[in-house]
Parts: sequence; structure tokens; C-alpha cells
Amino acid sequence: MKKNDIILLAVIIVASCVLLTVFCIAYLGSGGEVVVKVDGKEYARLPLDRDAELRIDSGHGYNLLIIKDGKAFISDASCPDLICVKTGYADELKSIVCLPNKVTVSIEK
Amino acid sequence: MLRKKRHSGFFALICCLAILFSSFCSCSFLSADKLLSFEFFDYFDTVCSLKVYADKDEAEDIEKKLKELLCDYDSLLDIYDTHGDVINLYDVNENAKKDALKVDKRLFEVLSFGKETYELTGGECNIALGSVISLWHTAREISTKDPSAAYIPSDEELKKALEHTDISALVLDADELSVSISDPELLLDCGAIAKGYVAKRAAELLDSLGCESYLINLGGNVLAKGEKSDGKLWSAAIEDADKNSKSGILCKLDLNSQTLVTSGSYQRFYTVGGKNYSHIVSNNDGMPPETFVSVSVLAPAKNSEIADALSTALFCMSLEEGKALIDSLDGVEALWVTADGEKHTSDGFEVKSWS
Repeated sequence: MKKNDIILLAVIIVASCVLLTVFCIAYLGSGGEVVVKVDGKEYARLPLDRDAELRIDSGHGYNLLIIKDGKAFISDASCPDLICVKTGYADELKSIVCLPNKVTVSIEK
Repeated sequence: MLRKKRHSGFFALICCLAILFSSFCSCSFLSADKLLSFEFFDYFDTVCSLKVYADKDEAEDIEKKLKELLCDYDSLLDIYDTHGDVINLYDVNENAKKDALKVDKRLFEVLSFGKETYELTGGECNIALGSVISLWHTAREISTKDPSAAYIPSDEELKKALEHTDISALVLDADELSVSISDPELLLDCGAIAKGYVAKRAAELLDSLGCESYLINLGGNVLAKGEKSDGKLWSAAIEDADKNSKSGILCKLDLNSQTLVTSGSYQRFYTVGGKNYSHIVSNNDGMPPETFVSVSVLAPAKNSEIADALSTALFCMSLEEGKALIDSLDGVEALWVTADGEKHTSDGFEVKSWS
């Protein structure tokens, strides 16, 4: 192999590694997100690690979403059963569902 | 010399191609099959959700076909309204009393399956319990709207309704695809088996569309197949009925092409005189059972339709009877949580983590 071949090879190897790392980070590295959907359509997407309040006006009623200390929950809602409030914190494996307002709050990691 | 140079150039080219190819492969692995997620609110009185790895271009097709399937079964199994274009369970309850009624093949299959579950669960899961369930349904509706008028069905009413729950009155003719009910007071209600049955049909649909990894959740009837993009299995959580529980989660488990169904009294209930009455009704005395707050059944995905029926049946049985039934079934496991918060599992019930 000539010197140039080796340089080319090295460049390609390094470039591939960089590319792969970038893709991996873009794919896996994102922290937890709170995903709010209304009637199956994405309504909002918020980082789990930043405290926030969001009033979800779904057109069927409202749900008040609180993100605090890395946890997301519904503190108040207009639905009659308030199951969404009683559900407590959302978890990767446990979405908050408000059937009357057609709202779901789930965690994506 | 010339030959050697060419050779090394060729070698370098192959290396380059190999590396480019491998990085291309890893990139395409990360991007070709996207995690798609869908939610439907209009069927089975619950939220139906699907997570599936598939090409983005197929998203619309998958969503449309799944929605169609949910919509079709929701109409077929509706007991409150007729749907005009197709004969559904409401029509069967209304019109199959005098003459046999020819029905859609899909509805016929659900009813046949309903008869099988009756045998399997020793009558604890009974689709002919409609007349009893409707008494509770009416009581719950009225009581929820106006708590000051809250009531439960009287013993007399329940006793009378229980006389019209004999499933042998439901006669199915497989050649004609016709249904008749010899007891005019009997009502069919597939609520205890519908979601599990439809989850299985939804899985079959996704299989036929070439989807290899997905998680279907029809209001707590969870069915998972394949692995996620990180190579791990799908997991599911069982909710903690204990209101004081911090996480609200009782335990998490991995689903290896399995289905997990929970029947519980902690979410859908109503209150009369400070006492809670769940939506599940026993075939024996027509009352909501009080032994457990929740029963979860874990079964292979290919048997997912029975898991729903079993969770209802186990909810109505004693722990001993339930354990005996589960032990007699291959690959099927269960978790019982009693009203006192005690947890019992069948021998093969594997939990990833208790919280």
C-alpha cells in the first residue's frame, strides 16, 4: 500500500466513526421527553428535565400538565372522572390518559 | 512493481467500500424503520394505541388499516346501537330470538370464541351475562350522573336476570353462519372478551403487513411482538391499585412475544353509601366480586385472545380455583392482588422489577 492509500483509508475510517457517533448520539442521546397528544396528534413535546406548566386545550376540555423535578403529571382537568389526575406521574411504561378530552401524556426516552 | 501497485490500490478500494457500506448499514439501521405511534379514542370505550417499527412511508397505510379493523369490530360488538350497514350484536340481541339471524363471519367467530371461553373458564367468563350486566350498567350511569340517587340493582332484579344467562340458549350454525337465541330474555355482551380478541386480530393484521416489532395496547390489553431498536424486549407495567403508591406502578415486566391483560376494580367503579362497586360482575351471584383489586394474566401472544377472558374469570374465582386453572394452561401465568394488598403469583410469573 502506498502512503496515500493509507492516508485515504485513515480518513475514511475516521470519517465513518465520526458519522456513526453523530448518528448514535442523535438517536440515543436525547434525554426524556414529555409527549402530549390530542386525538392521536402530537400537541406538544417538552423536555422532562425542565420544570414547566402547560394548559392543554384539546377542544373537548382542558388538562393542566405540570413538569416538576423530572416528573410529569396532570394537576387539574375539566373531565368529570379525573382519572388523568388520579393516575399520578407519567412513566415510560405508564401514559396518562384522559378519555373524555382525548389527551395522552407519555414519556419518551 | 506495477502489478503490486494495482493490487494495493484495489485492496484500498475494497476497504473503503467495506467501511462505507458498513457505516451506511449502521445508519440505515438507525433510520429506515422508524418507531411510529398511533392512538385511537373512538373505539371500545377506551384508548387504543399502537407502537410499531416500520418504514415511514407505510405509516398511513398501517394507521388506516388498523383504524378500519378497530372500527369494524367496535361496530360489530356494539350492544347499545344498531349500525345499519352490518348486523351487529345489538341486532342479534334484538332480532335473533324468533328466527335465526345470518351474521358477518367476524361476529360469528367472536361468538364461537365466547362459547369456548365459557368452557375454558368453567362458566366464570360468560358472554350470555348481558341481562345482569345491563342492570349494573344502568345503575352505574344513573349513580354517576346523580350521586344522591346512587343505588345498586336489587337482589330480586339480579335473581331474575340471572335466570336468563344460560349460554346453551345461544345456538350457532357454522354452515349457515347464523345465530339464534332460544331465551327471549337473554342478552349477549362481549365486553369481557372483546379487547383481547381484537388485540389478537390487530396483531394478525400487523403480521400480514410485514411488521415484526410492535406493541398494541387496547385499554390495558397489551400485546407485544419482537424487539425494540435497542435490541431489548418491549416492557409493560402493572398499575398499583394502592392510592398511596408513589410511582403508581406495581411492577414492570418484559414481554417476549406475549400479552398482558389486567382486570381491576380500582379504576372503573362507582360508589353507593361509601362502598365501591366495580364494573366486573360475577356469573354466580350477579354481584361485583370483592376478593381482588386486580388480576393480571400473562400469555403467549398467539393465545392473546384467551388472556382477556381469563383475567375476568380469575377476578371472579377464588385464589385456589384460579391457580388450578392457570396451572392447567401451558405458558399462561397470573398475578393476583387481593383487597388487602397481598400479592400472589403463579410459579412462572417473571417480574423484571417490583416497585
